[in-house]
Order: sequence, then structure tokens, then C-alpha cells
Amino acid sequence: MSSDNNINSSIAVLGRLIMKKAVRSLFSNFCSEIMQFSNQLSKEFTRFEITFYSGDGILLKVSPYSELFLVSIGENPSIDVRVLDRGGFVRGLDLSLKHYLDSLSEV
Amino acid sequence: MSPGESSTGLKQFARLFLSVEDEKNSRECVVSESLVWIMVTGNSPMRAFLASGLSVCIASKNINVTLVESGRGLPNAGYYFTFEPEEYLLPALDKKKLLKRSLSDSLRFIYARTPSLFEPFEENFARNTETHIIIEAFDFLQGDQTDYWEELLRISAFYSLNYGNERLVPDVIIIINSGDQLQNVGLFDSIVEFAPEATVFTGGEVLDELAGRIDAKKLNILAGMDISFGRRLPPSGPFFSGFTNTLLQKIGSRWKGKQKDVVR
Repeated sequence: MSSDNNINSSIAVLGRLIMKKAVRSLFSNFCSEIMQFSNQLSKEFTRFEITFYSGDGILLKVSPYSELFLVSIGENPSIDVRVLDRGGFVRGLDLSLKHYLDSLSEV
Repeated sequence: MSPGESSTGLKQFARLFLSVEDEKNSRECVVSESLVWIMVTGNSPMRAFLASGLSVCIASKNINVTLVESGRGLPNAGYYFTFEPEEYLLPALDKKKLLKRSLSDSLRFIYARTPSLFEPFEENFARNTETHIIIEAFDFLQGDQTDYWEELLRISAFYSLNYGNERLVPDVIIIINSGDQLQNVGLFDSIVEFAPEATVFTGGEVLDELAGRIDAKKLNILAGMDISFGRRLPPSGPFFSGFTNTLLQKIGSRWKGKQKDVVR
């Protein structure tokens, strides 16, 4: 429980980089949904982004900026989705979920 | 006037005094019905994957199916039923939103993140058959399950086609373990309390000593199943057709037993 609280507070701190309240709310909601994909996902925080990854090949980076957040899915090359509104949120989450489910199927 | 004509006339006369609701109820009370639980431990796509595949497979056997899904994690079965992302992800944007749709003449689907949000369907199945299976697919939660399961049993009455039916008790329970929660909880004791007559199938790692507390049958979910979690279609294949047959045999014998009880 305290570990969850730490993660949530780290996400909240990162989210402060986003100026718009509505986009900040989407950012924390987005990270929460990603974390619920699996208990096995590891999280790594830097000052400017959060990375979700696992040994199954799942790699999702979420980077907040002042007006939006960027979702980078996979690597070499990654698919980048700019999230400014609900439409971007849906697109980013749908592609992230597909990436996660495809990675699971390949194991 | 022949006797036949007289009878027809009487029926038409009686019809005038029967409301549409009464007529519907008198027809619906003969539906043979069962409740199936799919419970999945941990955050796993298996809940939506298995529930969508099984419900489609059962519905294809000329049996009406209501799939009732509840759980926090994605995907929900809307993903496999090829809903648009804007639709299946709606509950992720607004936690109080439901997904509710008739998918075919014999399959309807409802999803909510928590069971307290469920509501009945406004319309009945387009195709009236005499059989109906309610599949409730949900997450296995850590800790005390009692209130959560009570809620799920209460909800089953929403989706029953039998007039005045009270909540159903599961005839079949499928437990898929994708975490380690089954090793230290009284799950099987609770099942004995809630559904003592249920046939229980277990998939994934379940300790023999736990499964042995009830007559649980092992389900080899990896055999004959094409596990392509990312594919936006309900899964199918030998596992689903084989397991559906097993399931319907179990349920069919229950229905026959209940019919005999009614005749007596």
C-alpha cells in the first residue's frame, strides 16, 4: 500500500509539469490505467518521465510537458502519441494496450 | 361455430384483459437458466479474453447469453468485441460509465468497473429461446470476498429472463489464477458456502491441497487455445468448442434435474 502511495505521489509530482489541469488529470489517469495492465510491470521515474517496462518486451514512456504529455510506445522506432485531450488519451491508451497485449502473446 | 373456433375466440377475448407485460412474463417463466462465474486473480487480460470467447461460443449453440463483466484493469471484453477505442475505453475516462450493448440476437454484454453500477437491459433478446446462460466475469479481489460476491449474486436477478426470479446461484465456477493470491486465502471455503452445488474448474497454478478442498477439475487453458491477446476478436478454437460442450453437458443435466423436480 505504501509502495502504491509512493508511486502515486511520484506521478503527481511529475504531473505538475503540466500547466493545464484537465491534461494533468488525464496524465495521472493514464498512468493509473497503465499500472493496472499488470502487477508485473516495473516503473522507473526520472525528473522528466516515467517508464513502464517488463522482461516481456513491454516499453512505455510517458513524458509530461507544459501543454501536453507524450506517450512513446515500444522502441526502435517508438510510436509517439501527443496527448492534449480525451481523443489523444484514447489513442495513446488504445495503442499502449495493444502493445502490451501483443507483447504478452509473443511470450 | 366449431370447438376450435370457440377456443380461438376465447384466447382473443382473454388477450384483451392480459397486459403485454403479463403475457411476456407467462412466456418467460419457462426459461431454463444458469449462472456461470469466471473469476480471475491478479490483473490479467484473461478475464475479458476467456469471457468473450466463451460467451460467443455458447451463443453460437442457439442459447441466449448475457455476459456481465466487472473489473478495474484493461482490457474489457469490448476490446475483443471490436468496439471502437472511444467506446471500450469510456469507463477508463469516466469510472461511472457502463458499456451495454446487444451484440447479436442471442448475445448481450454489459461491463462496469464495479458491480454497484450495473443496471438491467431495457430490451429482451430478439430471439426467444428456452435457454439462457448468464456469465459473470470478474476480478478476484484480495481479502474478504463476501460483500463483493453478494453483490454479484444480487445482480444476476437483473439479467434473469424468468419473471420474479430471485438471484441465481452459480452452477459452474471457473477460476483462473494469474497471480499468487490463491495460496493464502479461503477462496474454496467461500465457494462451498456460496455455491455448494457448483462444478468448479481451475486454470493456472492452483495448489493441489487447495483445489482438493472441493472437487475442482483442472482446466488446461494453454492446450488448444490460440493465445493472441492483442487480436481484436473473440478467441475461438478447439479449447472453446471443447470446453463449451463440457460446460453445456454439466448445465444441461442440472436443467433436466430441475425439470424433473417441477414435474414431481
